[in-house]
Amino acid sequence: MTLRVERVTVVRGGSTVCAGIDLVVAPGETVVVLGPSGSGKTSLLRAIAGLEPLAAGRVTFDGIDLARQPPHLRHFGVVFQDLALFPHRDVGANVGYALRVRGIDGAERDDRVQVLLQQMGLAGFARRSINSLSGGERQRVALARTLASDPRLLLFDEPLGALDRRLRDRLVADLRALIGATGLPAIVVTHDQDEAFALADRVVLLRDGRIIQEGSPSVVWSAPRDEWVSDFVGNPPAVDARASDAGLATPWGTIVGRWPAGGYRVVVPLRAVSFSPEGSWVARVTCVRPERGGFVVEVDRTDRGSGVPLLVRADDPPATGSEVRVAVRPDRVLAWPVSSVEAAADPGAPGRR
Amino acid sequence: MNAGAEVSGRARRLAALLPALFALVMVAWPLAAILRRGFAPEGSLALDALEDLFRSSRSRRVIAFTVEQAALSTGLTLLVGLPAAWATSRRWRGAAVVRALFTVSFVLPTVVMGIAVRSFLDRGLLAIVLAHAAFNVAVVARIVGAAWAQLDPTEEDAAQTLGASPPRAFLDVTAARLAPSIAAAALITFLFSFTSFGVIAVLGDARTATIEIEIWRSARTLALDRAAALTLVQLVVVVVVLWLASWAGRPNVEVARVPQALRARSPLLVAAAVAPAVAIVGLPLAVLFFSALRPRGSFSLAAARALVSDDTALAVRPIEALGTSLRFCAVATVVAGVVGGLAAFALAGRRTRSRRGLDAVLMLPLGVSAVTLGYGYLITFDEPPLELRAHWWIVPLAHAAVAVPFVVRAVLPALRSIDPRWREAAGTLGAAPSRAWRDVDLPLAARSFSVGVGFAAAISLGEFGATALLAREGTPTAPFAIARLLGQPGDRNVLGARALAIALGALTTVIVLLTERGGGWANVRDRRA
Amino acid sequence: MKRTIMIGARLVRLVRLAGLIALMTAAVACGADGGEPVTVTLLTHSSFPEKPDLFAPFTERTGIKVRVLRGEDAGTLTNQAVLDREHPQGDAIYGIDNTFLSRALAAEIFEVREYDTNGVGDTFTARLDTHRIVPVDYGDVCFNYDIEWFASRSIDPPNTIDDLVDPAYRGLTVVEDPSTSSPGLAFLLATSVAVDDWEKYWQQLAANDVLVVGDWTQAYQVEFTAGGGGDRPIVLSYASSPPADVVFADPPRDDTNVGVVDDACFRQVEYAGVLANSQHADEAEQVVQYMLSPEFQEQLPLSMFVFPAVDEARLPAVFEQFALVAGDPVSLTADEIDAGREGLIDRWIDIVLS
Repeated sequence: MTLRVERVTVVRGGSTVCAGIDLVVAPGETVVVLGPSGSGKTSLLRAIAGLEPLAAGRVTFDGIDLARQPPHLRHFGVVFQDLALFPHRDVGANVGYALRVRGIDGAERDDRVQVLLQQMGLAGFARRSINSLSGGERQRVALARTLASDPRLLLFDEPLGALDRRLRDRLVADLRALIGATGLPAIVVTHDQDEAFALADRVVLLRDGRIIQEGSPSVVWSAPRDEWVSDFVGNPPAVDARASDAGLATPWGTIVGRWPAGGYRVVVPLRAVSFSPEGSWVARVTCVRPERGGFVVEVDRTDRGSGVPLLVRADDPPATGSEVRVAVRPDRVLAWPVSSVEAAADPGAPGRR
Repeated sequence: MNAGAEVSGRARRLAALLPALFALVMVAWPLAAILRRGFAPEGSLALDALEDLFRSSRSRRVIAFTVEQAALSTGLTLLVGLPAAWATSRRWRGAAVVRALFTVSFVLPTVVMGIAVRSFLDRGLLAIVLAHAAFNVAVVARIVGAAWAQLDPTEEDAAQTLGASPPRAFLDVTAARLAPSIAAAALITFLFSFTSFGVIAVLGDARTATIEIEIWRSARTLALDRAAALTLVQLVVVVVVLWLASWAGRPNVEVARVPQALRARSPLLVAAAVAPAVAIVGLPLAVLFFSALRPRGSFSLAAARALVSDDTALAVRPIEALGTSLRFCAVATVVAGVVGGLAAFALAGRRTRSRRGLDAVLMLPLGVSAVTLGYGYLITFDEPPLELRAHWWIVPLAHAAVAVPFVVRAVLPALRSIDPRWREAAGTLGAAPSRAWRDVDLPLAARSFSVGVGFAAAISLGEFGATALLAREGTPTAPFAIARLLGQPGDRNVLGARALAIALGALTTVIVLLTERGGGWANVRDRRA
Repeated sequence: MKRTIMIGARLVRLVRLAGLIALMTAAVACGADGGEPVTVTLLTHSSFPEKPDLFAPFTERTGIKVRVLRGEDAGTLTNQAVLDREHPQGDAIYGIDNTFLSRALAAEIFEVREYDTNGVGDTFTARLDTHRIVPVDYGDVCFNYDIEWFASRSIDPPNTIDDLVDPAYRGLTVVEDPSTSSPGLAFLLATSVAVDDWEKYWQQLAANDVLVVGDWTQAYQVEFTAGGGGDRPIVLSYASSPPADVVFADPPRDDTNVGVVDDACFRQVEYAGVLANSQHADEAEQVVQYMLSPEFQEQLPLSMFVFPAVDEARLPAVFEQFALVAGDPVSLTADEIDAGREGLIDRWIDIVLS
């Protein structure tokens, strides 16, 4: 029950959209392929589903090479980006389609459709037309339809992309529970890091057709491989810094710690900063904004005029314009040496004390 | 590795065989025969016929008049049709009825509208222009209306906030955006009026001869080279007009479904906008109806009696002509449906050169007149290997050739607009490619197919140009019979013509309205599947 | 392959439907044909009377039914027959006149048969291939006028065709279009012979507000004051119109109201023959032969208002009294007519219909 993607390359319209991708999805595992648009993640998904030809490499499932198998024989359930619900059929016909194709008709099919709809919280929706459904309802119909085909692997292309934020937040938990309940291996493709981290057992970051970083969500988040990954997972923007014996000299001040001397690109993530009376930096609050159940405060070093604000999370934010003391945990600061040779020679964790 | 559930090129190529054969035998060959008879009767190119044509002042006048009446018709149509287009682009109570009225007026047989206008106007230019406008108002309302419905009214508001006065904002924003569709509608109207035959035959006189009438007359008087020369002139004009139309922006002649339209603000304005168009279409039909029901001022069923009378100028009872028309219609619709459906399927793939060639040849009857085609059949199918002349099949085949373009134009966009992802989804749910095609593409195309087939039926019922040349005396079609009856004096003949026209018009209307809705019924059936 | 076959259950259904329809109509077509008795289809023009059935005695005697298919006028009748030569729409044809005869003969649309033309006047059979066609009747195309109309206004009725271009007679005349009407063509041919400059004549006639209509029915039964209650008291018609006027007068009259202008009249002869490629040539020959019988010929004056070509046939009294036989009708040979006809018509259209 293991999916193996080995050195897969996909070419579209003359350009390579996926280059040498290696991926393994273990039984019951949910892998999220995260990347910006154009990174090749949808093409990868389509290639795994058999909807796109491989230019190189192979895909195997349970040890069997899928090259010979057209999509309709692979038993992979695909939930498309815009769901691709059949517009000319009602909910029940959509959900029951896979059964119809397999020759299961009549009462048996109706029963199974009912069961699935009930599981999705859509009891009684069988006769409804697709056009009359809300976004979330359509989402669940698409899921039900896919599950009806008894798949051995689930493939999701931007499953929550079309929904607004509130709905997305509510549904992502449902989705995770659902995927878990099926026990099936799943690949989710998305550009949204929140979604990725909520769903993934493992995150694979894709950029320009190549895998940049792979690992559990917490590892990827706390130890992004480079500035690009850091930025993509939602950290504040990087700044230039210089390390010396005194420490890391950033625009906001020097962070005490040991880094090999040289130039760096530095990111001070939110988890590295806090308000503290013992903080070594004095700063002035420039902006307070609510976010995600708390506040994010922008501060600026008064005596520095650094230009790039420092972001601090707080439950009780200080007033705008007030003076505060800020403490930085050097072990959580992300710093990557600037030299590209060094960066290439040191893949993985950024430089640390 | 199978790339998705893509329908194979092989299937499309196979589907193209029958339409290609049809196009070759039923369109290309007869046209080539005409041109050869006209310009190379001895085998080598001889342009005498063309020379004679241009030297004859009569011919020049005919050509000039054809252009003149087409231009005037287009002008009147735009004048009446543009406000109607605005009205049909908005939502209001009764909009559906008005739209149905326009649909009906468009597919109504030309002789029916002709005889309707005749009931209160004399033959002449005014009658011709009016009849043409009555037909083509629907074209303008649909094409321009569809475009108008998709315009964002806030753009005009934005122009006003930038300082443009309301008329200026209208011109700069709305009119400018509508220009391509207006141009397309105008050119199509011009084309229809230019190649019009039924209307001119019924409403014209010796002074109002058009190219089409002259072709017909030349064919009847065996001046075959003259007919060929005129055909060429007509072809040239049509090609120019079509080229202009494509340059003005690819127009979609389709039954564009009006999307969720804006509510009209002022019912009075809507009524004023739509009234002239409704009048032009409805008035002649109303007069026809009443003049048949009240021939001498009091209600009588004389018209109905005339329909089944033996005493008219026809060799058969008028109602039998209707039966003949129905028989031809059934055959023609089946042929057009099969050929057109296969052609649309074949052409829905990538646009290769051979596919574009097939498309062009199948579309030829749109531009070349039906009279020309009929004439081509006359001289081509007179001898083996295809001696169809005496067989009644030749008439419905001519109808089918004229109708195929409409079927293709109805189905092809629908096929092309089908999201391939639905097929892919079906594939991932276990359906093999052909099964996926059957479950997804076919039902979605069914509605457009039904509309196209309804159109083909209407065309066959109303076809007059080719039939006028090909029909045999003993088995007239309804339009043929109407025109013949109208040419003879005597109450019974005129009443018979009117009654037959009403019957024919009603039949056409029913068929078209049924098939416009018919697609919806197919969907209902599918849902339970 | 499998895909294509599955491409349309619907299409397969349609094809089946087509086959069914074809089968049904073939059945109908076959059913219509064959079996006794034989029906001969006679192609003719619109003037052929529907009642009485002129062939009733013939049918009774021979059992051969005659189905009359009326076309429009002699010109279209001829042209259609030429176009349909390989697959004629009928078995026999009647109504081709001398203005179109040469075209019909040149196109070889007639079948060679043995006709007995002993009773036919010599003037008609001279220089005629009577194996192919036989002359059935004749009439003189002349202008008619409404006697009462002129009398009540104390205007002299026209005497010659030159009167018609006189301003005194402006707007009083209606003629038929020679391209669509045989009397129209006849008169045009007459003017080409009888007048010095026919083009100038027609220009003057057009300037004198002559009304041009499509065919005789329109001219006489609609526009002619004495015929249809129209506005024009002078119409191009036949020298046999006066007796017709008496016959159809309502209330009955003893005298005719229609006068004839005996100038530049054209003698029209109508012919009949068996069409080549006909399925019932023998029976068709019998029908044509019957048209030369005195029984049939004597019906002609009162049904179509023409003179019988057979000498023996007696004329009805009203004909003897009122009909005019033109004094000096114009006549041209078939070849002469053939040579000039199309060019004449085209020039005429240029002059008059501009």
